[in-house]
Amino acid sequence: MAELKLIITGTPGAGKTTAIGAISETPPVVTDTSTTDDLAEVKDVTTVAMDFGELTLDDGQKVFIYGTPGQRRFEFMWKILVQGGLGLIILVDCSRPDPVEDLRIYLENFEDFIRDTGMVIGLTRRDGGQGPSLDEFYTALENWGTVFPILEVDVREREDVSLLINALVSTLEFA
Amino acid sequence: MTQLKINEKGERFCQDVFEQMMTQSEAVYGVLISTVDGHDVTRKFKRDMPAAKLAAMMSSVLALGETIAREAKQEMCRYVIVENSDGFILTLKLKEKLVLSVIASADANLGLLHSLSRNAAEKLAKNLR
Amino acid sequence: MKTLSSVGLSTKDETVLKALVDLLGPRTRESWVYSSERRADAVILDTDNTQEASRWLAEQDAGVSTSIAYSGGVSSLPAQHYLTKPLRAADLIAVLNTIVDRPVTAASANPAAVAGAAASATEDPGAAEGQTPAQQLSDRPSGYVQITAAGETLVFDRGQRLCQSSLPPERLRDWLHGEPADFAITWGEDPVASPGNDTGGNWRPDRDLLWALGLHGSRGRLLRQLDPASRFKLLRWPDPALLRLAPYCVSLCALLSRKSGVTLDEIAAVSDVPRADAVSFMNAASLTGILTVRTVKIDGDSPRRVAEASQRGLFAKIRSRLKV
Repeated sequence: MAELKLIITGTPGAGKTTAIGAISETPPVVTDTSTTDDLAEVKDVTTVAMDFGELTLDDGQKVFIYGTPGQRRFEFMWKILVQGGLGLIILVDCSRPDPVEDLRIYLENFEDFIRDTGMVIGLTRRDGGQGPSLDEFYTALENWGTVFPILEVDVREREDVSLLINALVSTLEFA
Repeated sequence: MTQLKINEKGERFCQDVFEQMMTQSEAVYGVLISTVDGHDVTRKFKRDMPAAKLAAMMSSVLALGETIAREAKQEMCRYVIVENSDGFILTLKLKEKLVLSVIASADANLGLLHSLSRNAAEKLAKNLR
Repeated sequence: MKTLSSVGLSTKDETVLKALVDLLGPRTRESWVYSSERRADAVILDTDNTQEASRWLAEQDAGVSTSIAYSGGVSSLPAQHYLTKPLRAADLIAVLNTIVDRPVTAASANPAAVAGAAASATEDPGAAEGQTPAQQLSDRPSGYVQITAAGETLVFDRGQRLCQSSLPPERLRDWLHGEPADFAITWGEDPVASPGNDTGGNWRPDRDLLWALGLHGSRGRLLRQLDPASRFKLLRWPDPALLRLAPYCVSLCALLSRKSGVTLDEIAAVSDVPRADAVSFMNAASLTGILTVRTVKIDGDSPRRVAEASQRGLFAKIRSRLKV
């Protein structure tokens, strides 16, 4: 059976670990450590290697979901984690100063992987319409030609994480 | 970016400890202190190596080691050792938020490397705030 | 001969448009000429120039001119057709060829009748004979449209993109699937004040309701102004809440996200979405302004890579596990 692997990435604090926790049928494996820099103001711990969760399909086949560390210094982990991956979910934290720029950075970092597979973008922490308009995010994607899904989600909700995976799978199948 | 820094006195102390380690075993050619979330704090390298990248990698590998131990129902990961044809890389927690990594050539005796790393970690932990 | 005018275009775009119209010749089904009249058969509105475009929309009597929104991104104003910048001959021809003669309604035949609320209200005699709620709304980019059936009422302020509904959202679907003959659709330049017009709600943005109306109020009929042979493409995905209204929405969004868009026939060939549902989806996307339409022939378009059967089975299994 082919390896089924989905990858979730995005800025530190965007909700990657939470998303995996919301969808995984086993307690997620996390590699959290204490934050020692500015990020400590936002969160006490951060992922330094990967998060891992799994889903079992009806025939017993497993879908593995890997979360990457958010910070650029862990770029080597991104490269390791995407190997053999089916597609990418990018989470963008809309409470940060420049979420569109954040998205651009991740698009650039994962450019080859996205071209070979597929991608969906989840906008998080968007309470009260926080952050730039959807138009601004779609503009950032313009030169790709393909229209990638950008969905406002609450990654604490299993239903929302399901929708992201469904959108990704549908993009892989049809787009 | 604000991150853990040690003062001048602490830095001198660290360099002394690193020097002692390298004297005790000539095979040791790199010692690095980094934070658990992957920032480079201080180091002594006899060869050219990318400190910032290694700092991030050490935090990943140590976190993975601890996670693997937990999954295998084993407690208290002490070291993560990477043994290669050209030598050893040994990583251990130094304090709650600090990591000590020791890089040595293949001439090193692994037992000796263990003990000098453990001793250095204890000494550093006592003296660094 | 038909007339085409423009509102809010930059000088450069207007010059290009005039030149294009001059050169169209036999490439369009009808012959078109450029007119500086604000009331032409079709009007291209630069919806990025919101002020000018809104003013034009507000001035219009429903159904007089066919509106074509022309925008660099997603049009923020309602229109019957959409063109994306920059102006290209092929796109313009495709849109002009889909403009059909509009039915003469009481409102458009006699704009002078628009005086008070009661006088401006026009009962639609065609509702039962095939004018679906989706079509009725699409035909009226400005003014007010009221849809009544089984004692429930929806009111749309088309110009302001607002709506009111007396129905709880969970009943909307069944209500829209009700007997076509029961639907009374009225419209006018002022809110229709008629007995039983108690929607019990406040004005709110109309996008969710337009989407639902497209999905459930289309009765399998593609909006008249959409050419069934076109390539359809999305400008963006709808909100998660709208995607959840029907199980086929996510698959269709993905298909319509392809670089060169997709035709109704291609949808039938690669997915198991029934044609009527695909049509409803196109109408919903058109009503909410997230659909673009391209001519069917695209030069140099490479054949589509379609996921292999084994992979498609796999995707179906993942969806089943997610219970979607």
